[in-house]
Amino acid sequence: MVVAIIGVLSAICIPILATALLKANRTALAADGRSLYSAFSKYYVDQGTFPSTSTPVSRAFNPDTLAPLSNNGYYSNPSALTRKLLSNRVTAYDSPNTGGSDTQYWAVLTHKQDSRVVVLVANTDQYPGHIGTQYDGVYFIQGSSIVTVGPASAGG
Amino acid sequence: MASTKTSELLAMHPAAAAAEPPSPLEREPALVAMLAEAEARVDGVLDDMPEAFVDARRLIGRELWPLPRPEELQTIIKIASDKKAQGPRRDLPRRFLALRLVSEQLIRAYWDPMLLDPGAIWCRAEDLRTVVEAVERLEALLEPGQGASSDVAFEDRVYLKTVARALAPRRDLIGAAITLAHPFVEIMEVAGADDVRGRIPSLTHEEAELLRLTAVCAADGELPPAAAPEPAEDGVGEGSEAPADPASDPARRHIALEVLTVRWLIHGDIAEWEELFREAGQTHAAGAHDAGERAHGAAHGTSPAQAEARTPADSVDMIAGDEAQDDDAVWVIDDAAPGAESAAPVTVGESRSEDDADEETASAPAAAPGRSVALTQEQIELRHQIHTRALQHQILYGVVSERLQKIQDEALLMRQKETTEWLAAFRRPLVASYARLLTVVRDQVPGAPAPEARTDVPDDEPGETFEQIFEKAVSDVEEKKAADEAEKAAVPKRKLRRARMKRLAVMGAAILVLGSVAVGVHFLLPKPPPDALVFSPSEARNVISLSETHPIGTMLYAKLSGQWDPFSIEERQREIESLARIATEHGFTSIYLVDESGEPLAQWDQTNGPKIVQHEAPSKVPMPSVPRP
Repeated sequence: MVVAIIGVLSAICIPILATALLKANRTALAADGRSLYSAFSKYYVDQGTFPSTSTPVSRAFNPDTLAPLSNNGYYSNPSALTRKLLSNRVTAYDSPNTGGSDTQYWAVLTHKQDSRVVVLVANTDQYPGHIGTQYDGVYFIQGSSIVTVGPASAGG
Repeated sequence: MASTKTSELLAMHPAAAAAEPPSPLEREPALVAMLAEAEARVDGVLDDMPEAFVDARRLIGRELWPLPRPEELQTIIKIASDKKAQGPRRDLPRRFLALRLVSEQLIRAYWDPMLLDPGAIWCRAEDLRTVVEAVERLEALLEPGQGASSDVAFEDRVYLKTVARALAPRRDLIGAAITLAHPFVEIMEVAGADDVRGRIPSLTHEEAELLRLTAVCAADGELPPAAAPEPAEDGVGEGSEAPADPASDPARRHIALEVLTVRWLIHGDIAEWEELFREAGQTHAAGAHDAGERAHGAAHGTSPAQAEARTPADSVDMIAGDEAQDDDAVWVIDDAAPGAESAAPVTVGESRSEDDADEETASAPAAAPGRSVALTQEQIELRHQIHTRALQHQILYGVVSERLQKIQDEALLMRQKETTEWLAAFRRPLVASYARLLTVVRDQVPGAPAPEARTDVPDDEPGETFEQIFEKAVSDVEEKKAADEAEKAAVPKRKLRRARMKRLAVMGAAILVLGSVAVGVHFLLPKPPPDALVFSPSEARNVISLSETHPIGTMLYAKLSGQWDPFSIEERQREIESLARIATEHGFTSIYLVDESGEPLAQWDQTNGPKIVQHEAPSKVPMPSVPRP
């Protein structure tokens, strides 16, 4: 009887704890994604373009240091973000070069402790698998679906 | 410095020197020789005292006496370490130690279980008495105002008194030996007399038989102490070689004779005590009227009612005052009045302590109500003497009883049932006699019941054998078990069942509630995201060469490590489709293939199929955008 009670209590407490932990990780990564989205937006306003994937080199995006956002003061203290990410870096970045002007971008952030928590920071309609769908802001990627983080995600 | 001899030290006592020869030891040349030998041994031990405590204890136990007490050990080690001491500070501790050593030897000799020679018993008791006197004379040197030597400084006196206390001879054993010696010898002398029962009225059947055997042995000259076989410790022989008749062993006969003697002494005390109070009762009955009137207030002009209201102490004071005025006055002890019995001895007796008085006060209410005993001055003194003697006999009982118990235990261990029973036959009457002696020890009127709170219960039941004690213990345990079971059975089964059901119901309800909460939590909490898909570059090595793969939701983000440009468009489509087949098996729905710099090379999704990216500027500088392993 006592074992049964302990089992039921565990069945209650463990999911609650796991959910709370997941929610905390998602909230923290979403906040970091919003900061990054804001930096991309400022860069675009100043430069008229987003950081490139690899060329030209002067404005190529470095997933380890977040250059050129970090070099020009668009994003301060990049290591505070990258040390929370899987492999200490941005998982993937691309600026679909439609017309050679780098007017679109998308970046994927994966949480270091929980790889199920994946955030998409984007201003594009060329995200692979969702070509033609406009994404502008911060989103959670859950399996094949992409869901918005919340009101703060809108903008660009 | 040449050491001063004991006789010279004792001669320093001026009063002693003037009154009698300097030392009682001088009257006994054998004792003087023994003491000189002891002094030499003590000097040797103190000079050779090792520094390690364990070694010192071993040396003392071997050379002086076995199993010394801790304070004795500490004192001896302290004496040995005080090497710079001179004069009395050096010599007196050594003399105390030597006297203690002599007393230990004499105690061992006296309590030798093989010692049945009356002359030797008598001599050894006298030797013990002499040694005690010598010790007392040495102690007197340390008492200020009693002829203390001017050679002993004040600070040395404190130290020497501590030494004297620690090394004092064992007075209980010595006192018991001195008390026992004379009657023991007397009993051995009358053992063969015809009217032995008349002389020793306390004799039991076993004791009479023992006396007869003792007389036969003495007449035949059997088992003289010197020719007796060497006994084991405490005189009990080996179990396999034990004689068939326990009484034929002189060691056992000795302890039995000691028991007999102690019982004789105790019975003497009890008989005298009872006789005293019988006479006092008769005297009181004859003069009760006059004495009562005088004692209860006629002389003081008080009414009987007022006299009854007095405290026992008042009564004693009043009676003592009467005695001062009237030679015929008697001491009246009214057992009915609480504390009255103790009042007279407290007033007259000089040796009674406050504790004794308290004890009497506690015991008085248990005395027979309404009985009065009147004692004359002579009777009071006699009562005091008997009581003092009874206290000595109580100590003697303790010593002899312990010796008997030890021998009996050893016989029991050796499974000598006959010997054990034979010794028990002596022990039972001894315990019973001691129980009767307690009336005298407590200074109670004969016939007064012992106060319940102060009853001295003997450590053995006189009428019980070992088997009876064992059966009683077993039956007690069984009775307790049966009582517990009966108590359990007394509670109705229905009540027990109801209580059990109630407990189960409460626990079931708790589980139900908690289960409901668990289900609610399960449904209310948001569903967690699906687990991340897994894909390793090696899984596609037969199709395409990949350096890194990263699952992003259901998209496989893959980095190409091999050649891509040499392939034609069709070949590139085939490669990406082959990769897509493998990725689909893992649950992916799209693929994003990039080069080392992160530039996209091809895309694939389930809806649109493969899409090859055409680069417009082939001169791009590679820039990594995905992590290297």
